[in-house]
Amino acid sequence: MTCKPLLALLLLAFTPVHADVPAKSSPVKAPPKAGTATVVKEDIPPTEGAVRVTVVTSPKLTDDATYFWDVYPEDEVTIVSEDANKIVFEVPMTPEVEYSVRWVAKEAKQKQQTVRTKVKAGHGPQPPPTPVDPPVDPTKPSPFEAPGIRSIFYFRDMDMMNYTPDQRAAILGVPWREYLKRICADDTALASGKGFTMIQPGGDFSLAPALWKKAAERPTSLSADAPWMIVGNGKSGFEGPMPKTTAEIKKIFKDLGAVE
Amino acid sequence: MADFDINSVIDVDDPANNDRLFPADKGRGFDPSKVVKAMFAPPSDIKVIPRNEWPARLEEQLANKTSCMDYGAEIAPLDQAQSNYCWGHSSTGGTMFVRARMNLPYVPLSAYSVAATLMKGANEGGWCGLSAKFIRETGVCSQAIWPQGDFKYAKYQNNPDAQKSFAAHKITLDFADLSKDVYDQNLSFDMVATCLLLGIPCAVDFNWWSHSVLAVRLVQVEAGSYGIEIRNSWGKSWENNGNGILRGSKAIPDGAIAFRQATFA
Repeated sequence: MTCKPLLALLLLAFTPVHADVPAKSSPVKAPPKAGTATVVKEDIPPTEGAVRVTVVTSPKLTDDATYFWDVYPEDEVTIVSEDANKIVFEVPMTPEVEYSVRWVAKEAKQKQQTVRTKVKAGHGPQPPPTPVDPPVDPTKPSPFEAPGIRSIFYFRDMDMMNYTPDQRAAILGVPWREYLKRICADDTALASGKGFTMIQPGGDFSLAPALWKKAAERPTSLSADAPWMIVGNGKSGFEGPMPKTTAEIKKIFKDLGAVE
Repeated sequence: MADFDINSVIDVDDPANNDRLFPADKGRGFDPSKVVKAMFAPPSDIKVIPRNEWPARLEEQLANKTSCMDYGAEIAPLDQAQSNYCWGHSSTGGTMFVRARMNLPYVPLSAYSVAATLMKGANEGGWCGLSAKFIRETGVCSQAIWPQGDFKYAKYQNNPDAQKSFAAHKITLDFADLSKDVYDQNLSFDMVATCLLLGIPCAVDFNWWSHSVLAVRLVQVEAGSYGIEIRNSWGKSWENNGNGILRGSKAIPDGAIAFRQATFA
């Protein structure tokens, strides 16, 4: 199939002004300028398989201004040009990726200002749709031999940088833990008396209550490159790689009867 | 990215801050005299996050509340009082935070149980590498059994409850440069930053301060300039509820241990 070069840009979010707090020894002498960032189209470059993105900021900076840009994720991003108010970069045509673009600038006697914007660029063959079948097989036994939702999230901290943001949030994030506190069974072995834990493979369960020891020591096949989770409600359970999004993870709990 | 109190950033070169950094009524106790500057062989497992990713990762950490200070918000600062046991408090604090990371129950732990046992009751300085080794091998006792401030180590030696508590609070996984002596085990600033971005607390020793504290969060003080938020062991009244921010060269540790997992108990 011939992939006709297309450009799909969408301004998703925009933070008008985010002025970093100045050092205590540098009192602000003038109010920060209002900054804006605009994502504009650029000509399709001759490079096949790439799209070009241009982000322009305003107001125009004076000659004595200092600035820098960064684009994240930076993998496969090629900076074509950048100056005080404009950055042009190329990214692969496929797949579509949301990039965060940040512009930090400071003019003499002015407060530093930071402007961020997000841009979705690229398109191409889409990944196959996520299976709609429920991931939980009700015939699988629960890893926990007690009623109520309990779970163990396995992760490798040095691989966490490669996990999705939702996976990282599910391992360490407070909002996710608040969710788990609402749905998990009472369990005095754990903080707030709720039955969930986040551990790395090889954890020492020798002093753990039998319920947890048994669940943790059952044979499992941890994935080498993804976080893993086991969940049970006392009757049925789930064991497998942690899905990439919070919604998918929540669905597993919901399928096992979790009620918020 | 001003997610911290700017007043917590301590300008350590400003003599006006000496009262904040060297209060007369607080002890320290890290002993830099034995630290030997040498080439550092990093623990090979640490995959350092490049600096150009730090701003985005910090934004994500802020949005999803995944820092040590988020999941460990319940943990009260320890207070070493006038003892020289800062080096025991930094590692003990790390143990409490890593337990919170695992969603284990909050148990106030006694840094005195570590330091007083190691020093046989003497009020002496040390290093986080020494206390971390002890907690790795023996554990740390709860304050309910061994109160803070109690140097009398002998009375706990044959106390079964104390021994049980020690065993329940061990560090089972950490980053420590075991090829070095305990007083010379260190991590680079970028390694500590990587750990903090991954929600891993790090005990850090500073020669300039003769002090050992717990690093709990990476902070972007201003564009391109990073500091570390530390949990001190001078109680809740110090700085911002016991926490402050060190930056620049004064944030580069001379000794460091990262705490990654504790006994499930």
